[in-house]
Amino acid sequence: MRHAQVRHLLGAYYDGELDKSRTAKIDEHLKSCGPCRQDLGRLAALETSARLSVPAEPGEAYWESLPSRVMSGIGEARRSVRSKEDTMFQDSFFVYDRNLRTKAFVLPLSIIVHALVIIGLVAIPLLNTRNLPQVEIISAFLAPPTPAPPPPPPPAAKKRSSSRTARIKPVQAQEKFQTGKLVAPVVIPDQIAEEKLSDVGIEGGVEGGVEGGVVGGVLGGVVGGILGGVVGEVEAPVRAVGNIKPPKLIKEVAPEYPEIARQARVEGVVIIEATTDIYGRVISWKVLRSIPLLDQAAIDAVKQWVYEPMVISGRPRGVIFTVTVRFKLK
Amino acid sequence: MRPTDEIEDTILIGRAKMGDTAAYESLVRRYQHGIYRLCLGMTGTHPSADDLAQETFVKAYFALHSFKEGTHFHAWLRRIAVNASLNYLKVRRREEPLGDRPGDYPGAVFSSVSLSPHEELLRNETGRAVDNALQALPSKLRAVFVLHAVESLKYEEIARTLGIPTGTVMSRLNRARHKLQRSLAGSLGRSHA
Repeated sequence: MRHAQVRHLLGAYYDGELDKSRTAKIDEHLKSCGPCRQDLGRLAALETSARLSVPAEPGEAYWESLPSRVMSGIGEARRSVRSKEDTMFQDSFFVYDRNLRTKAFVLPLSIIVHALVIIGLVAIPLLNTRNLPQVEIISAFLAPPTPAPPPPPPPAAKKRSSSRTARIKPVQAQEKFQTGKLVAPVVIPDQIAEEKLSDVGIEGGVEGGVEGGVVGGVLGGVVGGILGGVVGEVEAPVRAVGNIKPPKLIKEVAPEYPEIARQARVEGVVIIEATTDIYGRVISWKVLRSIPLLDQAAIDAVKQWVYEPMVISGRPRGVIFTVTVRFKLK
Repeated sequence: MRPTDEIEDTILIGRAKMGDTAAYESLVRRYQHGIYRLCLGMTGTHPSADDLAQETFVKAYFALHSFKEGTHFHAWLRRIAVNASLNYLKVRRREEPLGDRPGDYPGAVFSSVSLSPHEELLRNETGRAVDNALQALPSKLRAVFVLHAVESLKYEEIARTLGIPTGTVMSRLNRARHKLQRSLAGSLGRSHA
């Protein structure tokens, strides 16, 4: 056994705490090692002086008094605990519950209940996304639309004095006549008009006719008109392009701003291609530029609109034209 | 301890648990010497040892329900006393009043132990030196040394009392001894001479 090891174990050796084999080894070492023997001597000296240093014990009177003082100390401790409770809670109706078992049971339970409530509040909306208000989701998909160009100004209202005929514009004016094919004249030559006047005039006049003709009267028109016209004679609506201007709006119903679009702050322009019948009522429509939330409102409004009937070549015609409905939040 | 003592202890503890104060008083009477001596070794002064011994027994009374039957009652008391002493020392180190040093109370309550005049003299001289050296020890080392030197406990018992491994007891005891030897080098040399 090395010297350092022995020095480390010397205290235990002195106290007789080592097993036999170690004790024997240290015995062996001590025979040959002077410093270790000196250490052992110092240990013994320290032990003696430590025992001597213990102060003398108090006398019998002290030992007689200690137990009784301990007992009075216990009584005092009890009283102080009780009196503290008494003075602290003497005015209280609340009876302090000492049932620790119930407490130990209630605390974890309340923690669990709280945790469940919190999980319920957080997790159920996360799991159940269907019931969420759709407005917010929709608004997330709708980027604010680029501002649409202002709609073309409505055609300048024509003077009342201008006759209906003034609005009649030849549709196929540019078309070339084909030889050998009968084509209905669409332009009334001026020089013939004079001839016609003399020809058309009926001796003695027509019953109900007006002398000198009617200003703004319709060529070929029947005085009093034909009620309902002739079925099957309604021609296909014309497209309002080129010279054919969109008809004048007579009855306008303002579109209703949808609540969901208002909440989502969706605004913009819906362009609808509307088709009127010969009476100027909108009979069909097609959305050209769509804003999903606003389309239906625009259609609902446009459906109810009534236009001035278009008459082309003396015949009422439906018109196809585009309507711009602007939705703007205030 | 004789087996009969242990049986008596068990009976007394059982009665004390039921609220029999007389039974507890006889337990105090039985163990007061050992506990007082331990506290005295730890603190070095009679007043504090007296306080701590009382405190130990009062604490033990209120903790009696947690004492496991079949275990060693004296060891249990010792553990309470050591913990109370360590607490006391910690507080005292923080707010140590000047002059409250061992030896300042040359016991009026102490009766003279039967020592020869020479021994008495030696005791006073080395005793003071050892006391001072002990006070200078860190409290953990002091607890081990006091339990060993004053209570003459085996390493295993010390380990059980302090709740530390036996190896730690050995190394702490070694350290305590080396420190004491270093600080007592002068006085021990003289007493040997």
